[in-house]
Amino acid sequence: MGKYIGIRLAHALVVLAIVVVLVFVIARLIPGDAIMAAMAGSVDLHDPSVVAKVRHQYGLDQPIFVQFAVWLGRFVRGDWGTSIGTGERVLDMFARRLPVTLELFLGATVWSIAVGIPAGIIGALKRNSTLDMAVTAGAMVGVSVPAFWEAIVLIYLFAVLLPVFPPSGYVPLSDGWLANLRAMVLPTFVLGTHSGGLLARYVRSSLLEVLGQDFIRTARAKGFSETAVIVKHALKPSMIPVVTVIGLSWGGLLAGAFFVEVIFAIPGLGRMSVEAIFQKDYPVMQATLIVVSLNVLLVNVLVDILYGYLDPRVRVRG
Amino acid sequence: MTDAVHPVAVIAPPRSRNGAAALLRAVVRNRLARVGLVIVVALCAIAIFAPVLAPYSPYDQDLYRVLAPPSTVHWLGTDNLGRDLLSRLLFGTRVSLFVGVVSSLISAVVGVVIGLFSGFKGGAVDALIMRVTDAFLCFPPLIFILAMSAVLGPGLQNVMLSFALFGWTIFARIARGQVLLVRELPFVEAARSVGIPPMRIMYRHILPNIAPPVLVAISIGIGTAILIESGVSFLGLGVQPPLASWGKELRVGFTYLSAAPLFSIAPGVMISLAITAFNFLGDGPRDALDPRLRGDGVRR
Amino acid sequence: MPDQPWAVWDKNAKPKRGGIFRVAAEQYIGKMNPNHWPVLDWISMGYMHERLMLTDGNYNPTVPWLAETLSWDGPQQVVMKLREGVTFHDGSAFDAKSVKFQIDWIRDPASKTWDAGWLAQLDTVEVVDEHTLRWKFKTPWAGFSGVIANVPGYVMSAKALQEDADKYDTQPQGTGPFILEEASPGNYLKFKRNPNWWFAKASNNPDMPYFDGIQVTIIPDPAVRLANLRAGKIDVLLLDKSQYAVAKADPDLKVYRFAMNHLAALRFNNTKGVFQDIRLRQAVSHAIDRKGLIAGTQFGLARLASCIYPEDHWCHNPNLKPVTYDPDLSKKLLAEAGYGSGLTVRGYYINTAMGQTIAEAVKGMLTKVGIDWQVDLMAPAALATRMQKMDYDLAQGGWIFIYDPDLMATGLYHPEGGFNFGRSKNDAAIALIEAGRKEVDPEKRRAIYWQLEEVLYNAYEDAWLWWEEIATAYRSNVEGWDHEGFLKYRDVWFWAHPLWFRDGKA
Repeated sequence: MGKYIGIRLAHALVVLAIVVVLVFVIARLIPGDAIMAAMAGSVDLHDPSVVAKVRHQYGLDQPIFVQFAVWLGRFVRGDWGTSIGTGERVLDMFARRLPVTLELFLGATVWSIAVGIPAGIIGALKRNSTLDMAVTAGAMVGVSVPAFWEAIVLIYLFAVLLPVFPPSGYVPLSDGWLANLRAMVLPTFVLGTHSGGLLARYVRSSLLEVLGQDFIRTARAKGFSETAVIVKHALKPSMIPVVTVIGLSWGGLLAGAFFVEVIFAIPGLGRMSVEAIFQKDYPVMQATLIVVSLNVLLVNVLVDILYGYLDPRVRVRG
Repeated sequence: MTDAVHPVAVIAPPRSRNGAAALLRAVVRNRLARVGLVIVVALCAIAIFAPVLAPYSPYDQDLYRVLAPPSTVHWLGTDNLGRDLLSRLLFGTRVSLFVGVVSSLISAVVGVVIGLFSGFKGGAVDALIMRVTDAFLCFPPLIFILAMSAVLGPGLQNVMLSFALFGWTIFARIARGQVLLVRELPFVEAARSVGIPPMRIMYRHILPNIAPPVLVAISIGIGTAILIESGVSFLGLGVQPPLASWGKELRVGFTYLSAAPLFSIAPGVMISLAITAFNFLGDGPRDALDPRLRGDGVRR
Repeated sequence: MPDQPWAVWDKNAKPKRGGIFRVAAEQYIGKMNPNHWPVLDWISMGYMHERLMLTDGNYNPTVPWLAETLSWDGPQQVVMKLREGVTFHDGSAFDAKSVKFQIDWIRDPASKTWDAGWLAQLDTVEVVDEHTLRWKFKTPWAGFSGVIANVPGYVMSAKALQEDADKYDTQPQGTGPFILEEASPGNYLKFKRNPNWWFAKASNNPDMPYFDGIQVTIIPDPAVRLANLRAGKIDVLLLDKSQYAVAKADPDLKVYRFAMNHLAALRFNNTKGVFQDIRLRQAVSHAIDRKGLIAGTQFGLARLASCIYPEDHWCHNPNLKPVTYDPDLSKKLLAEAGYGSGLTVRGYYINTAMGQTIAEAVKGMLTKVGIDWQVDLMAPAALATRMQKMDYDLAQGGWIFIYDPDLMATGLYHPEGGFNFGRSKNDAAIALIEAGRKEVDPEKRRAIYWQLEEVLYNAYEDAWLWWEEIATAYRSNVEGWDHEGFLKYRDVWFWAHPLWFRDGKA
């Protein structure tokens, strides 16, 4: 097990290095004019000495390797630069918006578990029936419907036609947790749909696989009621995929959060990132890309390790 | 779904068991995959025959009749410049399918080549390439492509390019996986020792085995590319006016949600339909081909 | 105060104190120092900051506000008496010393203000006594009142500026009816009531302002903003024009429509490229169906423009008629100029939803007469670069908040103008603009601007499209809006007649 973890971590480090280089390259590829344009409001672009000064201020006149080293050094120490658009420190922006996005993710996970697991179980138990077909089709639709459209439809139904939920906005917890939850219902539901669909399918096939195994046949032969067989013996082992799905859908959650936050006007990391990309606010863009990929990387490593712990076959296959 | 396709069977490549024929059988046999196929074919027909099917040109503006509700003259109403929404959606099918298919195919070709190379080379090169693949896969596709739009600028070509820059990773993994599986087999080693060139081995034994999972991945890839294109166009970075794309229509429609709800509903229906269809098409046979998901109790 | 025509309040209305007024904005305010770029929400700016002068119903800067009196000592000198008993939100006193400090600060290049050029004609401003200032100009300056009724006239606490001018961008100290309480960039602004608002005392309305506070929430999508309004989550909304009909039909909303002093136009590059030929400018202008544009893209909420000054502006020349829609004439002119087989021109437009719609509509119209307008949709900053480099033939033009006539005329058509960069060089117009700056007699000044409009009009210097209208919707429990009064006195009416909730709460 230790060797397994070691290998995984070594791989992760290499990947991290490549990611960091990738992010830097991507951000530096943004046309220089664009960066200048982003700062246009406060500088006079006619004046070449001013332009040169700004370039120097942002270190754009150094050779690329120097820029990389400088940027990396600063980043690791927590100096993520200042946003070109608002002048705030990027780290502060992240700190402010992270809890909001986390709440969104948490809610989405709750939804996906609450809807996906029962659906998957039903599908497995009623295999090949119409109900199973409905569950499978429903799961597929959940995975396929784009988050931004689902958000629009739900806003229309539950905020325009029948004003049940507030159509947008984030109500900070300080203003009341009930209001906060009500505002989060629609956005978290939209976000949870995709992973809920995946979860339903994986739970279903996992439960089916477990149900077909010898020890289940033994339990049945021993005279346990069907309910007992399922609940006491089959359910736990079939929950293993939950771990995988959370890992698989993490990236999708991040991307979906972008849209959900933009449409529902939630002040989280996703909306900040989209705005940064539009404004070519490259310090924020770089930080976002690193945070996002680091996130996915960490989750993947954790899932791999967890999976290796739970399922010995994986360790051997490597 | 009770085909006894056991991994061991791959060794002596029974081309009738794996390969295109088996794939087709898996598709036909699976109910959902059949539905997907029908829808995909219908969408392709729409894309090809759009000029014939569309009642109006998608570019004809009528500023005195904007956001009109559905009527006998305009079945889905008009958009914010008075253009017939139905015609725009029909023509939008071309854009979405084109972007989806081209992006996916380019990714497939590039990815398979890299994956085969990586698998054959083995060793450090293989490990490095796999780590690079992992690195790319750390970025959710949408975020990666959004970032690339900041670099490359808006427009469909850039969306396709960015998608290919990212999508090759999945195909590389599939191809490499197959190479690894087959490379160790006795008869392949025998073939190599006798001096049969690797290309021939690849052609006779690897490619036929790759075909099904790659085809499945292409199908799902098209669905993903459509999703990403509409997402990027929704944010304003993909298709540029006056071209119609489902994502772009959805974005414009959202602004006028209370004045013309159909403008927001219809494009989304098309997007969801297309993605669902490609996912059905790809996923059904994948279930049949991937032993781990079979759920029939056979321990693997 | 008592003998001002706009200083009348409905005696039968019984305003109630209380409640938080909730507003939705499309964009965050940006910087809260009016002289720093960008400021994207001037309404919110007005809750905190007030000006020395306000404008009247014809956009004329005739209403003393924080400046009590202005007396002209010849055309190059003004003695200004400031209102007494006014304090900034940080407690410091509003007096001649603080105004002088502020003006000098704006003109100091180190302060990096974007409106420093507006004070170019100012020579010095001197403190005469605690509440009196003497302004001296380098040349006769007719536009002086207009400028102090505009951005440089927003009074800021000199104490705060002196302590830390950069901090002022996020922690402003004005004199306005509301004080900034909390700002979450990109998300919301919270204001609380200013219990020491000078106007409440001076006008004998001690309960003003009536709201306990104002909350501005940023909601980028118009559909979501409207949904919030109808669900009662916000109290007022500047409507997207497509929503006007729906909002009017809603019994819970009070909808008001009124003219705005913005100009929508297309600008030509008249000094470089094909549009040096007036026939091609004419061809473009006559190819545009302005009525169609207004009907389709503005949902009828705009007024056909003849030239640059809106019809309710005191400088508007009523003898000019909007350019006719005549595509056949366009084609003829194109052929005459040698482009019978087609003309390709380049340009840009802003990439907002409305900008995109207008650009597409115009592009379609131009295509019909054989002109291919390769228009790029761009963000404001990138657009500014192309404008500076004159990298266009036909692009977005226009002006917002047209008050003093010189600001727009210079900005668009004078070599020193902040939005010209050499693309327009009409000598007759330039001469008139310079004359208009110096002419202090209002009637003579108006005649100069009438002439200016005629010169620009005959030269087809730009293609002017419409003058703006907007529509606002209030929830029915918001009281105090007198539409007639507003139409008559505008700026000053708006700030002198705060609103209230019928029951003292939202």
